[in-house]
Parts: sequence; structure tokens; C-alpha cells
Amino acid sequence: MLNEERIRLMTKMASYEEGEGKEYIPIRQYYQRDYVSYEMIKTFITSTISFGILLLLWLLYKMEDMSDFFNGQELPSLGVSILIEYVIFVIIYQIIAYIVYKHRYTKANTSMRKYYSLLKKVQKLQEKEDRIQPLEDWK
Amino acid sequence: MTSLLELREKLRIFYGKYELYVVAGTKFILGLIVFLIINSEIGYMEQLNHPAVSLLLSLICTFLPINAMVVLAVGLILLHLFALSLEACAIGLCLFLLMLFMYLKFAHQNGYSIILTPMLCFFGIPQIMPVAVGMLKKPSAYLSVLCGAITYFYLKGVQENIVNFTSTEETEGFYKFTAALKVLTENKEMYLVVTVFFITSLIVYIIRRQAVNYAWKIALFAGNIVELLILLVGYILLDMSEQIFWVVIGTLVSIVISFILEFFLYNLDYSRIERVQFEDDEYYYFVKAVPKVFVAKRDKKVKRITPKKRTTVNRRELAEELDIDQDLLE
Repeated sequence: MLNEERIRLMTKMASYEEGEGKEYIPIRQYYQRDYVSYEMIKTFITSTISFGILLLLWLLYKMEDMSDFFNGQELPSLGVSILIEYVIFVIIYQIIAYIVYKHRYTKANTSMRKYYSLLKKVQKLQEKEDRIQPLEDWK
Repeated sequence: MTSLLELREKLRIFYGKYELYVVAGTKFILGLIVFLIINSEIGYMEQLNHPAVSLLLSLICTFLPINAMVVLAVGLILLHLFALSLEACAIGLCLFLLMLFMYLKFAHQNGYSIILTPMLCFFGIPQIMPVAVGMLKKPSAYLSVLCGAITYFYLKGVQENIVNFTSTEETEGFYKFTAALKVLTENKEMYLVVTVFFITSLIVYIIRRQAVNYAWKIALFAGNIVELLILLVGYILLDMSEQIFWVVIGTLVSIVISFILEFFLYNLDYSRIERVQFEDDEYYYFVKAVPKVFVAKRDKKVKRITPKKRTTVNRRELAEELDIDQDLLE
């Protein structure tokens, strides 16, 4: 027999899974530290690519004035300054990533609490139904 | 005012009832406008410059999330730029990749502002975007408006300097790259607009969060006025006085739309403010609660009051019914 209460709860859960949960459920599969570190690694890669693109664009833009550098006289100092800028760039992005993804995890945590409470209720109802079922079979 | 509030309620109910169709229809129309603009403005690749392509792309966007429209629009732009010149396309690609990796990776839920900003820039009325975003979103979303604006100015710059990209003369190897980059780096109008947009959004955000009466109205008004003033001064300093007309028109449109948005999303009744105070172990709370203006949908019931039918029976009928002679009823 259909259990209306359980169907109502499951509809609520399905609507959450389709809406807010779509973003948050995958996040909660990780521990906070794992999630934040994973995202920070991804950010490290993307920030390195971004810096590479910026450097390339800068080189293209300054190509006409760069002939002195390519003679080799100022190349080491240029390399060092680029390296320092790269490190600063990456550190800034790592900080941003840490803040953003930690905040996102906390948000996911809060949002998922309601979902878990619904899940528990459904589980209890299911267990109750399972207990009743054998008795009905005897009749 | 009451009829407006009723209209708002009706629209809300309508949206709630037909949300799926309203969202899909909005995406379709938005997509169609965006792709038609792209094709009409930078339709360098003839194979794609056809209304059927725009229609097909917007149909695809109808059923996908808004970010899909951003991706398709970017793809279309890059293909058109590729047909114009490889260099313009390469710089465009770098620009979009930078936007993706440096900003959109962290704030991917701003598809609408990214699409709407360049579209409204094309119509000459982008002033509403920073005000609307300042009203509805958090500061992390404000850069999406800037991304949209930068895209618009890049495409506009490429179009205005098209000679640099189409010339077939033997030029120095990196000339076209430098020309494409200069479209961005030497575009003072872009710097002005981007700065003004960011400042406007922040002003609207800061004021609307204050616990003063009519905070949203003050924020909208202040945001629009500051935007207007800085843009006017900026364009005069840049010697681009011909833009002033559009700035004024854009600001007027922005004021109207922002007040409509405020009416629909944040209509509070300041005459019924309630102030409560209470405490717990750690804090003392001074709470000011402002109720929302709400009008229940008028439930019209037409009650017809008609007089009862007079049952007039003539003498003959009565006599027939009683089965007696008519003359007895004299």
C-alpha cells in the first residue's frame, strides 16, 4: 500500500536534489579538508595557466621594445621578477580559493542538514513498513 | 497602488504556475536577441551569419542552463573572429580563458549578467546592469558585469579597427597581435565604464544594506546619480561628448527599471515597523522588523440577486388544476 507520508517526504527530497542539492550533494561527498585541497590544486593549475596567458600577452604587447632583453643582458633579472610575480599571483589565488571553497563547503553543510533529516525520516518510515509487512503476509 | 500590488500578486502566481514555460521562453528570446546581435555586428563567417543559425542556437539554449548560452555565444564570437583574423581570435580566446580561470571558476552562477551586459551595451543602455546586480547580488557577482562590458568593448574595438586585421599587406609578424591587444589596453572608454560600473554596484550594495528606512530606494537613486555624474564627467574629459545623450537616456531607463525591480522584489511597508528588544546570555538584540506590502488577490465572486419568479397563475389554470369550474373562483 502507498504510504502518503513517505511519498510526501521523498518528493521534497527529489525537489531538493534537482534544485539546491545539485550543487551541494557532490560537495558533501568529500571531507572539508579534502574538498578544499582538491579545489586549491585545481586553482593552482588554472592560475598557472592564467599567468602563462598574461605573460604571453605581455610579451606580445611589448615585443617591439623587447629587443634589448633578448640580447641577453637583462634576461636574468627579468626572469627573476617574472618568477616573483608568478609566486605572488599564485599565492593570491590560493588564498581566494581557500576562502571561496571553505565558505561553499560550510554552505553545503548547512543546506544538506535538512536533507539528511528528511532522509532519516524516510528511513524510519521504511523500517516501520518493513516490520508491518510480514505481519500482513500472515493474514 | 493597490491595483499595482494586485498585478504583482497575479504575476507572481502566474510565474509560479508556469515557471517552466516562462523561464524557457525568456531564455529563447534572450538567446535569439544575443545570437542575432552577434551575427549582425561581427558576422564575418558567412556560413554562420544566417538567421536560421541564431534560431537553432537559441532553441538549444532554451533547454539548457544559462551558462550554456554563454559558452555558445563565446564559441560563435570566436568563430567569427577567426574568419576575420587569426590574431583577433587568439586574443579573444585568451581573454575568455582569463575570464574563466580568474573569475568565473569561482562565481559560475552569473550567466545572466554576463549575457545581458554586452547586449544592453549594444542597445546603449547598460547603466541598469550595475544597479540591478548591486540590488540583487553579492559583491562577488559584480565582476561578471565587468566581464560582459570588457567583451563588448573588445568586439567594438575590433570592429572599429577592422582595417588593422583585414590588411593583406606584408606587415611585421606580431603587428596584428599588438593591434588586437591595443584594442583593450588603449581603450580609455572601457576603463571608464568598467570602473563606473564597479563603483555603482558597490554603492548600491553598501547603501541597500543599511538599516535605514527606504534603504533600497535611496540606494537605487544614489547609484544611478553617481553613475550618471561619473560617466558624464568621464566622457567630457575623454572628449566624447556625443555619448552624453545615450548616458542620460540609459540612466533614465535604469532608474525606471530599477524602481520596477524594487517594487517587485523589495516592497516594504515602513508605516508598520515593529521594534522589539530581547536578550540572551551573550547579546542584547534591538530588532527592527519591517513588514512587506502584501495584498491578497482579490477574489471576485459575482453574486446575482434576482427576484424570485412570481408564480402567477391565471384563473383558468387554477381551475383546471383544482378540477373545478372557473366560475366558482369569482
